[in-house]
Order: sequence, then structure tokens, then C-alpha cells
Amino acid sequence: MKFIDSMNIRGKILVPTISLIVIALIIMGLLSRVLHDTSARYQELIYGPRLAAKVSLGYAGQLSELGRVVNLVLLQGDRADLTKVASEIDELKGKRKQSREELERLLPNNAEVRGLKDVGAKINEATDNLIAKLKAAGPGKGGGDAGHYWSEVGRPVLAKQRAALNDLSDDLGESSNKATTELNEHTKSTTYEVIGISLGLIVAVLIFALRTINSGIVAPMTILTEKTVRLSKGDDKFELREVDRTDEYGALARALAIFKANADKIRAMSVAEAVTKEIGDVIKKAADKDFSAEVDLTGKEGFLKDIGSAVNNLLRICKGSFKDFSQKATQTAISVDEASTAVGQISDGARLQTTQLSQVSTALGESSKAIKLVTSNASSAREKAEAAARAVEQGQLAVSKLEPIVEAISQNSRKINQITQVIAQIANRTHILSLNAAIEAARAGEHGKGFVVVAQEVGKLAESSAQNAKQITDIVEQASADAQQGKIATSTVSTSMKSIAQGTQDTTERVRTIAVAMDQQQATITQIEGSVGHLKTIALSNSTAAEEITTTMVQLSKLSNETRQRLSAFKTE
Amino acid sequence: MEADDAAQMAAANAAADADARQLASVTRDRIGLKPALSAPKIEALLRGLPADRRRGFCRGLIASAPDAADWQTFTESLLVHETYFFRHPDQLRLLAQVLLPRLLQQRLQSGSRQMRIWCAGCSSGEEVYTIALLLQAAIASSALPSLAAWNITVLGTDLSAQTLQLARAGTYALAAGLNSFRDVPDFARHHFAAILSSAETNWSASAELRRLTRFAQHNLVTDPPALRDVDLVLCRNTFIYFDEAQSRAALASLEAALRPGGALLMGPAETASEASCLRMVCAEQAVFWVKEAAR
Repeated sequence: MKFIDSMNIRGKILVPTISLIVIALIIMGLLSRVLHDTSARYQELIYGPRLAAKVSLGYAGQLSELGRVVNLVLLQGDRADLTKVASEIDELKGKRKQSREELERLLPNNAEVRGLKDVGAKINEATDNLIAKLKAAGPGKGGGDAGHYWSEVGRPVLAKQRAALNDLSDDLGESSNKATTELNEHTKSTTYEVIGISLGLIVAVLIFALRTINSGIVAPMTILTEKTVRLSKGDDKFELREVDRTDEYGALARALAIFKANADKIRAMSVAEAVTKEIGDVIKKAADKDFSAEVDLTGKEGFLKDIGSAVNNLLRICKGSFKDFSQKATQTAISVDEASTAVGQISDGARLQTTQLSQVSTALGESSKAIKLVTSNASSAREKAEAAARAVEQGQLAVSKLEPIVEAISQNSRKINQITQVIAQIANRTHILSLNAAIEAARAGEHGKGFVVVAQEVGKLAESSAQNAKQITDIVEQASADAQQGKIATSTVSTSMKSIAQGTQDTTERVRTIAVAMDQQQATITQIEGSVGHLKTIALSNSTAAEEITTTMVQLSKLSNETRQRLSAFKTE
Repeated sequence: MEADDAAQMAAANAAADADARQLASVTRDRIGLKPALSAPKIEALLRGLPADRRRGFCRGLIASAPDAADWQTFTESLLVHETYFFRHPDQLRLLAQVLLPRLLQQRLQSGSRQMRIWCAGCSSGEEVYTIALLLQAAIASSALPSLAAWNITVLGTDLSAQTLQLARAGTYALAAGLNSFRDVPDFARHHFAAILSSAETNWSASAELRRLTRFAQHNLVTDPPALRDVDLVLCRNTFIYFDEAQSRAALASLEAALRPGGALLMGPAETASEASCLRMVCAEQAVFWVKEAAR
């Protein structure tokens, strides 16, 4: 069995299988030989005699038939158709020959059979003679002679032969029956023999096959399986003798030996599975944004404890970071929001500043214009004041000159009054004269007509002179009164003029001071305008920058809010 | 009767307010500006006017074509032109040290010497000249072929025709307050030495810078991309003014303009995370987006 042990598993399966096949072939060979033998014996001992018996019975039957044919001919006498009978007898002759030859072939050594030919020849001769006699007898003679001949010669031969054939047939039947019994016995014993041998072989080979399969395949497999299972549970308290095997089990055992050498690791691994799952669950939770779980390290050891501890550390760091991020994002969002508001206010302020600076600038421009106007007004005022001062001076001079004139007018008025009175008297006299002249003219008649007109005119003149004189008196009296008033007025004007002259001098001085101040003011405002221009540029750039910063801040605020929202999805508590 | 007058006036005011809101909405559709930002400005423009004048103003603008003079004047009054040289220096440092050399190298490897940069929303052009200066320096300090061997375009686009005039003029004054030179980082001060030491009062773009740069009026929200096969798009502090739908449209336009592997830089408060083919890259100094090959 040693060579089988050294075979591989395929060999261990193939060898018993092939053995079984070989055994089966051997049994089949044996069986076929037994069958062949039985069949030959059957041919020889049973089939041959039975066939021969049948043929001999047939032969006997043919003889009987011949007998019947002949008897019929003899009975028919003249009515018999000899030609037909002859042919019938010939036919039977042929058949007998066939049967005889068959029997000779089947039973070559049988004395009875060997004698058949002679008997047959005798029968043939008898029938031939009978036919010849019948033909020779001719019609109407009956078969007396022929019948006689047949009774003497033919019938006994026929009977004897028939009896012999029947005996033969009986003998053959008997012998075949005997042979059948013998063959049955023989077959039975042979069958038992074959079955015995086959069973022996089969049992042997089966034992061999089972032993091979068991010891070569099943047993080591069972042992190794058991050892593998034990090893998988971390149990390495067993021997691995199988390592010396040359088959696959040897290789398997050698591989197992390596696992056996690492049994502590395998043991650890089986323990590790549960722990790994536990750690995996914690990591899965973390992947689902839940950082609140931790690996429970109690009862854990080795590298898994290290991994668990590392995962916990990682989670703590993540948790801390996320809390930190979250807090910072919140703070950022708040700060950005505040800054956004503040910058927005600054932006609004800067815009307001720009607008207000524009207004200041406009106002300054207007002030500047106003100052220019005031300055020019002041200088023209000064000029006018100076002119006024001069006018006042001249006025004073004129007034002082006016006083004596007024006095003179006043005096002259009185003189005029006197003159007027004279004129009035003259007018009165002239009127009277004109009346006289008219009377004189009327007296002169037609020639004085013209003079009447003159007198009338002179009268009218005198009248109007008187009126004029009266008017003049009135006027002069009025003038005198006016002159008196004028005198008072002039002295008042003179006093006023004096005070005006004083005032004008003051005004002129003041206007001059204003003009100087306005010049300085103008210079200052020009300066301020320049500065405001700068301020405007600055305010505009501030405003633009602030606006962009505000917009950026709003955008940042949006971004930081988004960040905060994303971070808040992580559960850290 | 007085009550009737008051009711009439209230109705007229309400109608005028509705028109103002519609104007803000039309403004958003045409130039992307958030109504929250345009509304106060429209209000300021209408302040003090009687209701019928306010309505007339708003209705006239709503009915006007986007290229009509009135509309242009109106939009000019809404835009915020905040820009200065070397703004957001961290991004520019990243651009100078990493992105520009990489983009140039990529072009060179694919056998091309073309470089296209698009500053969308360039305002008065400081950013465009800044990028041109960085590009000059990047090429000069590397082993790459000299500037003359390249076909370089730095295109600046803006909605405002007025500021584009300033950009094309390329001359910037040392104005008071927050001027164009307010925050030049140390690494770029040498470009502006004369003006920063107050030796001069103006800075003008050199002829070489002018050769590299181009300017065009462009509406980021409604126009197709101003350039194609672009290596680098800068669109900084423009999206903050856009409403969401317009942001998306503009972003799609920028994305379409970029070549695969091209980069997009946005403002610090802006994000392109909604674009399908743009991958965010968080570098140490700044964040940028790279266009991936179409999926």
C-alpha cells in the first residue's frame, strides 16, 4: 500500500476505479466463456438430438404417407392415375433422401442412421417394382399381383423402418432430456462458481478501493479538515504529521503548518472580526456625519486596540476640528455680517460724503461767486461813497452859497412886491385910459372904429397886467415865504450835509476794510475749493471701494452662511 | 377732495415704484446686476422727482434698446469701477510662480506659441496691465522662448465704454485717496518706482505692454465668449454683482472660453463650483479652477 500512499488524489481515485473496471471485465470474460461453453454443449447434447428426433419422426411420417399413397393406389385399382402416383412417390423419395441426409449430418456415428441408406434403397426398389407391376398389369386387371408384391416386400420394410425410426426418435428424445438435465446441473454449478469467484474478486477489489479511498483520501481529509477547523478557531494544540506526505495532503498540511505557526494571529483575527465590525460601525457613523460615537476600548488588545484608539483620536480630532470650524464659521458669519453692515454703513456714509462734498463744493463755488460779487459791490460802494462824499462837500459848498442867494431872494421879493404894486397902479390907470380912449373913439364915429379895437385891446392888456401883477405879488409872496422856508431848510441841509460828510467818510473807510477782507476771503475759498476737490476724489474712491467691499462682504456672508450650514450637518455631540 | 388727491398721489407713487422695480429687474436681465444693488441707485437717480417724471424715466429706459445712448448712460451710473494695480497679490504670486509658467509650458509642448488671457470685467485696465507685466516677467525669468517669439493676447473686456477709454489710454495719475497704486506689493514696486517715490505724477503703459493688450466692450451676461481657446481667464470681483441666474450664464461663457487645461481665477468671495467641467484646485496661496477635458 505504500506506493498508493505516495500517489496523488487523482491516482488514489483512479487506481481503485480502474481495478473495479478490470475486475468487471474479468467477470464478463468468465461469464462469456461459461455461456459459450453452455451454448456449445446445448448444441451438442440437446439441440442436435432434438432436431434429429424431429427429422426421424418426419422420416417416419413420410413412410406413413408412402404407405397411404400405395394403399390408395391398390384400392383404386384401375381408376388410379399411375403417372400422378409415380410422381407423388418420387416426391416422397426426394423428401426421404433429404431427411436421411439431415439425419446423417446430425448423427454421423449412429448405426441406425448408417443403415437407413440400405433400407431406403430397398423401399425405393419396392416402390419402383410396384409401379412397374401396376403399369405392366394394365387396365382392368386390378392390382392383384402388385398388391401381393407390396404386401410381401414393401409393407414389412416400411413397417420395420417406421418402427426403427420411431425408436430412434424416442431414443434421441430421451437422451436430449437427459442432456438437458445434465446441462442444467452443469450450468447451475458453473454459475455458482462464477458468482463465487466474482464476489470474491469484487469484495477484494472493493476492500482495496475502499481502503485506498479511505486511507488515501477520506481519512487524511477528515483529519486535515478537523485540524483546519481547529486552527480556524485558533487551536494549534495538535501534531501535523501529514507534512511528510507526498500527495496533496502533504502540501495542504505544509500550508496548514504555516497557518499553525501563525495560529495566534488567526486566533486574534477571529476575535478581530467582531472588533473590526464595531470599529467599522463607528467609522460608518462618522461617514454619515455623526462624530458622536466612539470605539469602546475596554477588553480590547493588540493592534485592534491601537486602531480603535487611533480611530477615537481621529474622531476626537475631527470632532474638535468640526466644532472649531463650526464655531469659527459661525463667528465668521457673524463677523462678516457685522462687518458687512458696518462696511455697508461706511459705503452709505462714503456715498453721503461724496454727495455732501459735492454740495459743499457747489456751496463753496457759490460763496466764491458771492464774495466776488460782494467784493466788486464793495469797491463800487466805496467809489460811490467817495463820490457821495465829494457830492456832499460840493453840496455843502452849494448850500453855503445858496444862503445869501436865498437872503437876496427874500429881499428882492419885497422889492418886487413894491414894483408889482407900481405895475398894478399903472395897469389900473391904463384901464381907465383905455375906457376913455374907447369913449373917444366912439365919438370919432366911423373913423374911430379901429381905435375902439385898440382901446379895447389896451383895456384887456391893462386888465391882464393887473391880474399878472396880482399873480406876481402872489408868487413873490409865496417865493418870499419859500425863501424863508428855504433859508431854514438850507441851514438844516447844511447841518445834515456836515453830518453826512462825516458819515460818508466813515463808510468809505469801512467799505475799504470790507474789500480787503473779501480779497483775503476769496483767496481762502479758492484754497478750500482745491482741498474740497481732493476730498471729492478721495471720497469718490472711498465710495467706490466701499461699495465693492460691501458687495464682497455680502457675498462672503452668503458663502460663510453656506459653510456654516454644511458644517452644522455634522453631529459632534 | 383732498382725500381724493391724496389717493391719486399714492396710486401714482405706487405705479412709479413698480416701474422702478421693473427697471431694476430689466437691468438684472440685461447686465446681471442684482436688483438689491441697482435699486438704491435707481432710487437715488429718481429722488426728488415727481411721480410722472419718475415713471417716464423708468419706462423710457425699459423701452430703450441696450445700445441706446440713454441706456448706456444709465448703466454707466450703476457700475462700480473698483480696481488697482496688483490687486489680490496672493493670487498674482500664484499666477507668476505656478500658473503662467505651467500654461506657457503646456502650449509649448503642444507645439503652439500662442497664449490667450481674458480679463473679464477689467474696468479701467489696471488688471490687464498687471497681468501683462507678470507675463513679461514670467517669460523673461524662464528658459522659455523670448516674448517676441510668442503670439500673446491679454484681452480686457468691460461693459463700460467710459472706463475702457481710460484702459486704452493706459495712463494713470497719482490721484488723492485710493488711487490705482494704493496697494502695490513689494515684489511689484519696481514697476512703479518713479510714481511711488512721487518723482512723477503719471504712469503710462509701455509700448510693449500696449502690444500685448487689447480692450473690447463686452456684456458677460448676454454676449457669447469674447475669446476662445483661452489659457487663463481672470474674472475677479465681477460675479459679486451678478444675480444667480446671470452668474450661471456668465460662468458658462467663461467655461466655454477656456481651453482644456486652462485656468480660471475669481475674486476671493466668488466661486465657480457650479460649473460642470471646472475642477477646483486649492493651492497654498489661492484657489483656482482648471478646465477638464469635456466629459
